[in-house]
Amino acid sequence: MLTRKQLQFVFVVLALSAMILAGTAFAKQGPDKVVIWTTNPSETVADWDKDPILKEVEKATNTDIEVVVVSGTLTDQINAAIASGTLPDIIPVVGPDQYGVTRRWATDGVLAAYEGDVAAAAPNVIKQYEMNPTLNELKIDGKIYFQPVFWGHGDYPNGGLIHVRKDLLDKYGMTPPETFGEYFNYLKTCKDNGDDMGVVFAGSGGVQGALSAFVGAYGVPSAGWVKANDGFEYWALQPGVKQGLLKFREMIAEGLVHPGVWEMNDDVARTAFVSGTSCSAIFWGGGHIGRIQNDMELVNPDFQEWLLPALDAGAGSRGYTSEPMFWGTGQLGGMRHNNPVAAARVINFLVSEEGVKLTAVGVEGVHNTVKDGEIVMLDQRAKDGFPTEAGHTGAHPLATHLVSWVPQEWQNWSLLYGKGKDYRDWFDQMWANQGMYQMPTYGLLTMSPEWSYFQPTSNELVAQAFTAIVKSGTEEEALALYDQFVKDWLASGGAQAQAEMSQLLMKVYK
Amino acid sequence: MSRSPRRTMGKLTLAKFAIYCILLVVFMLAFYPFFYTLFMAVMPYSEYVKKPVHVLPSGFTLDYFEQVLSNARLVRAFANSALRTFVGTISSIIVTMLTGYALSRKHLRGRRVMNFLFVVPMWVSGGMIPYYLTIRAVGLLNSFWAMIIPVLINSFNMFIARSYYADYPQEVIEAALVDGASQFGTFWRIIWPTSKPLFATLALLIGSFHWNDFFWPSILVSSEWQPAPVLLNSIMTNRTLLFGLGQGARIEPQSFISAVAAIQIIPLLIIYPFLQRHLVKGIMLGSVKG
Amino acid sequence: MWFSAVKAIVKEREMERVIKSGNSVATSKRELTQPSRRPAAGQLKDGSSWRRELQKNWQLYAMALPGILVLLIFGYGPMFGLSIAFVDYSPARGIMHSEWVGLEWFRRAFSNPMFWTAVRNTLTIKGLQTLIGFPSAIILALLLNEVRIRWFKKMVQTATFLPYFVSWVIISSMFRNILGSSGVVNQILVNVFALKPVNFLTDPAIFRWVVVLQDTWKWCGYFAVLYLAAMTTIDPALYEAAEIDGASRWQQTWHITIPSIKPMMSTILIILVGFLIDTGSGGGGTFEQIYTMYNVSVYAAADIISTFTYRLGLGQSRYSLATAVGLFQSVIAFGLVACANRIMKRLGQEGLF
Repeated sequence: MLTRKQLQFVFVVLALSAMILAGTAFAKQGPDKVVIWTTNPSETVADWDKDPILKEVEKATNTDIEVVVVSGTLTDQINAAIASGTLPDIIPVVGPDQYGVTRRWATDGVLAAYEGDVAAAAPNVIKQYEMNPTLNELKIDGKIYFQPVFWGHGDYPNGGLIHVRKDLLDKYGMTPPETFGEYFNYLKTCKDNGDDMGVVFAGSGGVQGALSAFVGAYGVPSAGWVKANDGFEYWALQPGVKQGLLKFREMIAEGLVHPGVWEMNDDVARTAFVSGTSCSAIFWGGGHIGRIQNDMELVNPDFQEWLLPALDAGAGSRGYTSEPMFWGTGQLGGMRHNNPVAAARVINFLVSEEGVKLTAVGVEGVHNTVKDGEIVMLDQRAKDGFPTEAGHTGAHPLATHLVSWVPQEWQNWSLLYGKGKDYRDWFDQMWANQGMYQMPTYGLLTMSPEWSYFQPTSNELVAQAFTAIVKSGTEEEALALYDQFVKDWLASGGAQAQAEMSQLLMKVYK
Repeated sequence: MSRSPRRTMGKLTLAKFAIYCILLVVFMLAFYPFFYTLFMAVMPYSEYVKKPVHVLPSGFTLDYFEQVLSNARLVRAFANSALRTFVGTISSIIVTMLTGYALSRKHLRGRRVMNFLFVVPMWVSGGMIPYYLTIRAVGLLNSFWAMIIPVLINSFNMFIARSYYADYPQEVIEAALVDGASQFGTFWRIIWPTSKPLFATLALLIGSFHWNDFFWPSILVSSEWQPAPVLLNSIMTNRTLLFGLGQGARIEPQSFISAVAAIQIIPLLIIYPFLQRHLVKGIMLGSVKG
Repeated sequence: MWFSAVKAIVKEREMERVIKSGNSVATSKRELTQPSRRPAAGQLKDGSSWRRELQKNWQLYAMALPGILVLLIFGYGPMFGLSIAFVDYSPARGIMHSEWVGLEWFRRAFSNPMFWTAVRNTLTIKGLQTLIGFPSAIILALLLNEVRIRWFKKMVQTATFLPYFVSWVIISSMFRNILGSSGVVNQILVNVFALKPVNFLTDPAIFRWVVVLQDTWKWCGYFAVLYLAAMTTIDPALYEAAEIDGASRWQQTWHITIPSIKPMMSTILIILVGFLIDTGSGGGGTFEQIYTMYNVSVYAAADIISTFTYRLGLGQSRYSLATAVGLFQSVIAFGLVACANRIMKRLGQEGLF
């Protein structure tokens, strides 16, 4: 039996533990401080401290969130923050061209992995990985570090889509082109009728963003890696790409491309199409389709936007490259001063159904109200940081660019809000056209060490060479340039990178 | 005398006529881009699309200036530019003058070493990344002062100041020192009041640098403090601001950008003629021997 | 901005030579008025005189201190960062704890075809800029020197000098409007002369010339002022004597004006040679010029070392690689200046050091 002294000792120990437990429990009740960086210079939220949506998020996750707007080059700012030990808890979306950099952060141990308490706090993030197997490529040593900034699950075409004007097609008595021949014919007709300066796309960054349908017609995606020769090879080296580039060159040689296209960025190209200067554009899809239509109506009510399904070149294949439906990743700071568990709670809430709805339409009763089962927007919405027009996505800036893009269904919801049946039917049709023919790709998110070194060089080589190829004077010249490109690419580090990537991808896609 | 004055005159007139013609062409080539930008900024876009060629302006509107000035971010950026130019120019002139004066004193020990220190960075630099890391290491990153402190002095301006003071009538300085004035007192009471040409030269050189500088601020300074050229460049190369403006208002990028550029140029056009006399004088001061 | 200093340096050097030879009236006068303030050379050698010097001139040192500090921190401080070029720099580990990789980054850079394109482009563009810009400023100065109508001279001088004060951002926005595919030049070519539009900004071969001539446009007036300043120091008696000897205006220019601005020409040329390897934001702004003007279509002809470094360095967080390239650039630039300096001295012209 215990002596009295021993009992006293046990009692004291128990009392102390109880006090400590109670103390920690009490401390936990205070909100956790979470620092979020955002690159979104949106003026729509004048004062983040008073933002009602942010307040809702804080309430739901028991956190005290500080939003810091950063400018300049994001990765540099983050690198600086890492070096000076001021990394935020939530690092905003870093684009796919920087996966090498984000990967480095993870292997350097400054990011928090979604494991243990962090994983427990963010079941919705884990669920995304289960729903979309492509995301497994993002894992490093089997661990999740990156939260995809998504608008949908699975893969779907997104870029390099061909837009035309339905009203012009009707005017010329044409049906929407199915083949490149018909498409070129449409462009020619527009030109002959003085309706056109030529097709536009964002050429200031090179031609590769506009190649999706062109290489798709020859069985190659316009990004990532493809299965070939018992392994994986880079898309740009495939014979089909050569064919696609020649097709593209043909379009330029015949004078069907706007002469100023190589100076154009996305915005200028879009403006040329919307304002009727050009009768066709190679551009993004999804919500952009509706927003283009809305803007066109302001210019001329007769204009009608039409998205073509991927075109056929008679080579037995067609399709737009289908890519994972997210752009870039968000990540959690994992340095000593960070609180990844609380940050994970915030992310988890923002990607949950409830959080998504909150950032899409705001608080019920304040920003929207439900009438006959339908959500009706209220004026307060615009005052609290939601864009007045559809803008990017129609959602609160906290969602856009920060931790999640806005799911397509909510983008569509705000796009179609208040629109009639015709518009809805048309939009459904466009959405179906976008995905009618697809070209799969692999390994967009995979990073081997050599590839992460070589990728920037590769991007530059592709941008320069492909642009020169499609602009070249003769077909022979184009072919010679392409062969030179393949040689350069392999010689300057591509061969090693490709070998490494092939091995990695073979493991994932046996 | 083989030539009569009259013949010389005639020959000269013909040659001169050619010279004047060439210079007139040079003048137009030099000035036309400014002129074009200014008239693009005030010409209604409707006029622009009406005619295929625009060598001279037609129509007049201040709409685009209004658009620019109604954008809070741009106005803030111009305010930043003005503040930065004012603070940066004044502080830099003072530091440059003081250093230039001290290093111009022939009897100062260590003068040659200090001079040499200023020569090397004219060609050798650590490069972009180490510079960036240095700014970060001293804690200036993302602050307004990142645009001021690192550029307080530069070798070229220092040499201008130094040679200006080396030219200064030395007897005056020596006399003051012999009379028991301190070095600083001499500078303040005798040198400073007579440094006007140098001040004007430096003001124009440093001021235009501060007003125009865009590359480093775009990297080193947080968005709230970014000066106008940074924003102008991002309007031209990215779609960021145009997107933001696009919500609700229709804008014509060409006219809008011209208006932003015009607002950048106009202050220079106003100030420049007043300071030009001093500038040329200052450059000559730096160049004319002894 | 840097060219004003050239004059200053040239003059300074001459001053010193004058002082050294001791035959300047001004100098000897100075020595007479302040015998006690110029300690003899022997006296300066020992340490105690340093203390005395400090006591006496501490205010002068204090005046120089802010400038020297800024120079040391921001001019020399970054040079310590050059060690980044030899490690696999990781911000998380810091320079000291990043892995040492020796010359790996140099190897990577040299095996990159785009690096050599950039080197070639830098030399071509800067070379052409020097070849065209250097003489055109002299010609402009000579022409302006002939003008006797003051307002006309002032007008031309003002207009040609103006671009010097305008940032490359503004300049490139102006030139985009003028030279763009729908700019005024193409409007005229297409609508007045019924020609095909010229792709000034997207055709590599043409763009290179745009960059070269644009540079001349920006700097020509500034150089010209420097030469004009040098010309004002020419003794009018020389011209009068030549006139009496029957020398034509052209002969006067060739035998009097040009020789008298030769020191200025040689100094400027040395500096320009130093900037042949454009060192980032320092080298006459060619980085800013191209950075604000170029696009993928013209990389092949217009991507210079510093834009290449910027894209790969800051754009892709390849700090070590970018620093290695930057170091390479600085070394070459300094070497070029030293060579040019030597050659100028051989030719009997003034050197810089």
